[in-house]
Amino acid sequence: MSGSQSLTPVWVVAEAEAGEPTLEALGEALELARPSAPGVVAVGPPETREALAPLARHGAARLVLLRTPGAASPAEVGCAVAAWVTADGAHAPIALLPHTRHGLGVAAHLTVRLDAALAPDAVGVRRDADGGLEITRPAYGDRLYATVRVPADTPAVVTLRPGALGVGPPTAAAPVTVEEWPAATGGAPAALRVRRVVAADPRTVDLRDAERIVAGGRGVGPDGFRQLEVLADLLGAAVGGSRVAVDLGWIPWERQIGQSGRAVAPELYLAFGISGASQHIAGIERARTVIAVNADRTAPLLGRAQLAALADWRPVAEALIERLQARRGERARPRVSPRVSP
Amino acid sequence: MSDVTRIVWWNVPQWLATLLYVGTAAGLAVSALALARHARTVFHGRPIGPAPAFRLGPAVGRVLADVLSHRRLLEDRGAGWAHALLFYGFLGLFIGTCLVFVHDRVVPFLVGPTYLIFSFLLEWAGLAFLTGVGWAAARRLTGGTPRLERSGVALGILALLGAIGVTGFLLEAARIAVTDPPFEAWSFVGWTLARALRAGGVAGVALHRALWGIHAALCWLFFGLIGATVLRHMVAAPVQLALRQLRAPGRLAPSAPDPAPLEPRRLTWAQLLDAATCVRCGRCTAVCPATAAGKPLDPRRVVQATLQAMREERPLETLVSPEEAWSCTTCAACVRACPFEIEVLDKLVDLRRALVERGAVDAATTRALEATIERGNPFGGVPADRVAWAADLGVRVLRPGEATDVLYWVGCAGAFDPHGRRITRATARLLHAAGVDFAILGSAETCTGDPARRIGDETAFREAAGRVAGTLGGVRFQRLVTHCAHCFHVFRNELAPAADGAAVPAVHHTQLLAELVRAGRLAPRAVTGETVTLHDPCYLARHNGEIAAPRAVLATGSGGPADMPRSGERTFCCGAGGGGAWVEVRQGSRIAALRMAEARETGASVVATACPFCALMLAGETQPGDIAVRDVAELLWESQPAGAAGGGGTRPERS
Amino acid sequence: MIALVLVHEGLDVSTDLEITEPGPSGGVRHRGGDRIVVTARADRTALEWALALANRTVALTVGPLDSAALLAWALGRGATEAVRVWDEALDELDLVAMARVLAAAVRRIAPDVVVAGERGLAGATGAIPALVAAHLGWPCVDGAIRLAREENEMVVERRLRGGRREELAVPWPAVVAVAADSVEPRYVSVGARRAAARRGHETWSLADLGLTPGTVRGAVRLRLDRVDWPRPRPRRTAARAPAGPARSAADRLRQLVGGGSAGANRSAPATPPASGLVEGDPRAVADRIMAFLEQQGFV
Repeated sequence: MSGSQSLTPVWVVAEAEAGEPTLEALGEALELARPSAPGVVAVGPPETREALAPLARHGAARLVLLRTPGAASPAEVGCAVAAWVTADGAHAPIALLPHTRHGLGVAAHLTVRLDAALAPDAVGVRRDADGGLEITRPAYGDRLYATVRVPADTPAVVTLRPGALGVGPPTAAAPVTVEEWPAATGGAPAALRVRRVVAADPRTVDLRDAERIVAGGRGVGPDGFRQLEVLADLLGAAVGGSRVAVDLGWIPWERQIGQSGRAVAPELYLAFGISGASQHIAGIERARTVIAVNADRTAPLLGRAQLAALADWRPVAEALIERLQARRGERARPRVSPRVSP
Repeated sequence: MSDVTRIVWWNVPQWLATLLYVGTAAGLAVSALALARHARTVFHGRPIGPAPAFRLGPAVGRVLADVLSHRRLLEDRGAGWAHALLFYGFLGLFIGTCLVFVHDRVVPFLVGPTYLIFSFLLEWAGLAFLTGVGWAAARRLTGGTPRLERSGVALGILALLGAIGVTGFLLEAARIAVTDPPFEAWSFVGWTLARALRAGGVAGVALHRALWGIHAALCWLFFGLIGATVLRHMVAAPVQLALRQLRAPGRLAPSAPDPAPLEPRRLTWAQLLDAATCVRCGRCTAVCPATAAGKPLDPRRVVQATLQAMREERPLETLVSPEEAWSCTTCAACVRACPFEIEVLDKLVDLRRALVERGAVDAATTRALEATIERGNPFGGVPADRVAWAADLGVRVLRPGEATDVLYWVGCAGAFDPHGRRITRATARLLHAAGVDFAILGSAETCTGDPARRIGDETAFREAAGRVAGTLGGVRFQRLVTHCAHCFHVFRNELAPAADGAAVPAVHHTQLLAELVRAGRLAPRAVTGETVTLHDPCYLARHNGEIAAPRAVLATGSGGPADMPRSGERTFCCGAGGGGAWVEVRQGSRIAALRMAEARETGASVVATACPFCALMLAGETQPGDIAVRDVAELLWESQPAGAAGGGGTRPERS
Repeated sequence: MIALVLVHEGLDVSTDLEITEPGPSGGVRHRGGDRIVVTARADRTALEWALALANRTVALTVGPLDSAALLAWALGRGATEAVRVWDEALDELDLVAMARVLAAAVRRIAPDVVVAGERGLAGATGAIPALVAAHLGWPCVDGAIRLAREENEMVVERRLRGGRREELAVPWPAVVAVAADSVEPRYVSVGARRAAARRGHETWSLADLGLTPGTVRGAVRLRLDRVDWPRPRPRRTAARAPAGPARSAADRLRQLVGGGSAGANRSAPATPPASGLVEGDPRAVADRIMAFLEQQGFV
């Protein structure tokens, strides 16, 4: 190992909550920094030190907090970290960050200030034989992997794709004191003023934006959608359906999910009585978690689901509603009255 | 016998006679002015572009044939007969009046037996006329034919005609009641009515004079209304029919050269003449698939909107909405149903052209057009995949400079759509089995531009057509065969004008297959347990007149395929025309669903198609266990003996 | 208000690709050897927003003469002017060098706002708008789904997690990166593109930007070594097994393939259900679903 390698410090720029993505970056930094250990730097108000402290147990040798009065904008973070790392005497530092919206913004400013190489959205970083870096990142719409090289003695900023690397077990390392310094954010654009935050109403949100969707198909029938609406309310989900449900007039066409309707990307997709023609499955390609309930064993959607249930949809939906209401501890108002008069 | 005649001006004082001429002249003048104004507007319409030379003989022949035979009108039997009676009755009466004029002013020849026969025939003419009018009015009033309007104008005109006929008879009766010559029994209606008048005690010269005056006034009113109402068709229709030879029905004219993109297009003279001729009969609306499916489109309304645009000098797009324009599938059923072959779809495509210039096109349509530009096909497929269907079939791919007898043009649907691929495979196997020397162009094929043209991007179409013409120019072949009705239409009719080139000798695969079966190179279709009904593609049957070939291919020993009620030239669209596979107007139901319902009602187990778009649209409406949809080629291939040289692979299973 | 739109074209990534030789990008093609080149969807959206926002819109691209069609599209859509920057040295740049060139061009055009697509084609990270903003010292907003102009600031709405949206007050000059699906881009007819192509676009050299081939090449910090098919990459796990039902083999396989939350590898086969088919009494099924929802953190 050449001497220059040990001078190349590895810094992880932590996010404010120092959650899993930061830990992933730290895990990668550990490998990179061998035989030294990486440092972690965060920029934020004094409370941030609580989030930083546990990182010592995952291998950080130094914990640095650059203080700002309130939450810092990505530009301020980037500038402050760049200034700090340079002032700390680092030559050709390597900075690792999670590839989040915030992280990319930080990385951009860091890159410009350090005149560094930038490899965003990477899934792996390692040293190569010449002392430079070999970085692997998805490219061409995630179809291919590109391998890029940073020569030795070049500062580098790498953002890591969250979830790609995983978090290793904590070590039994000694705790490290958090150093605090004022953040030199000089001249960086401040955080933008938030005028308002609009909560999404699952009842009216466009299905393409919906985080959770409860959907019904041919097996549900026209009255079944009332039940599904109740269930959706309890789950904070939007209601959608297959082409059959739209064709038969049970739901409006804006709620059609599939190739000729909306392509959706919810975190949760709960389908009742949908067999899953290929054009429908194409519409839920990017759904994260799919739960399918169908009485037909041969329904293709059952193969696509993370949890597939072979049952009649109505009693299952009713039972789910019951359980969710019990959790809520109150009776949900049905979206469509009529109420039975006393 | 020289007194067996009629005194022409009997009981008509000079002033009344003069008034008759004055009134008639006035009425005709009013109409002439109105017609002249229309004619001037038509004359100043935009040119229609390149057209064949006008030939007077065929034009006159067409007019006489259509008018005298009433063949288009008779497709609705009730309407046809009612109008025929009305028309011939009117014609008879008109000729009669002219003959009376000749008798009065030139040579008094209506005497003796001549007169008696003349009177007799005129009675029949009058009866026919009144029967026709009464029948027409009854049809409107009973509401049995929904397309017939019950408007004040329509019923008023019928009432006017009826009144003219009735007063005519009454007039005659009044005269006979007074003069009472015995030979007038030949005018049997008048004779009978005269008896009634006398019995009623109202006969007299005063009555006659009054009726004469009323009848004259009604006639003046009639003359005056010709120019202002749908009666205009009496003048416009012969002109329209005569000039029809300059445009093939359903054919699109190239767009105006370099128009100011956002300005409304001026209407062509042909579109203006169309509008002036329309009588609001509504046959176009009655056959329109979009109307049947509940889309916003009503062809009659579009033509009338054109008339309004013409009168008020407004752009047509202020009167017709984009949804109406996008609902059209360019199937040309409206043009075919119209007694005057009034074009509806050219106005809608012109509107689309304007919308496309502005980019006012919805997302799915945009994607299809962009895909055509970016990768040469509206399906968005990769060019290299155009030969995927041929994997195991050993089909020859023609390279530039090479030659073949038959060039099999696969088209985009045939290459990228699963239904289309089955058709392509079946056709290729049939050609192999028949020993045809054929080759394909493989990934050198690009879209013929039909979707782009019907959607309204004329320049995209010309570019696409130019590319295709260039590709075809690089190889040599005797004939081009395609299984897609749309590609066939472009090759046969539109490629040469668009690409400034020679016509391509194009054949539809049903035509070639029928030829091969006739020549014994392919086994004819075997009798199976299946019943087949044929869905004629609009672009094959109606736009290009090919009805026999698919039937010949499907014919088995026990006969041909069953026809649906709307078949042959009257076929009902599958909904994919006019770029319909990529343009969706969400109102109403899907056109293909309606067609499949019609197919199911025949009780057949298979719907045969002859175009991959028909196949994919109709198949999209089927359920498992439902009536099957298969192309003519697939059905014929199933009948070929096992071991036929299908170019590799096993016999196809039912798909 | 002057808006500058960054547009580019590249290999269509929505279709399967082939690697003809495992070297730098020249070896990536579509099946059959074709290169289907498309305009980035997000760039089209960016142009739509710029046109809605500003009364003068400039389309900017870095590319050789082949990019003329791209600019013809932008002009046909309604951009007031189009600029193409090109020099031989610009052929194989990395992100930071490209951002430097773009920043220089932005400085020369001096717009009030730079609108770009949130994601590019081959790169698909959104780094370029962020880097350009960093060079210029301007605020950068990404993930925008709506832009509007008020008295003396812009209002930019963007998506947050959970379908929530936040509305930001953005002073100009600024860089805004818009989400590709925030608006449907309009179609531009072929006739309009041709007419625009006849009008032509401006071409700038490096000298026009105050740069030289040397400085540009010198700004490159990393090089592309090769392009490969994705391979399963080992993922770290904590020593203790997580609470909840035992992970199935399919789960572990999915972990191995990795790829993270943002965009699973589309070439990978669909994974089978993690817990198999649940059958039986509906109430028991409902219980099972509830447990699953709890485990996944939905309730």
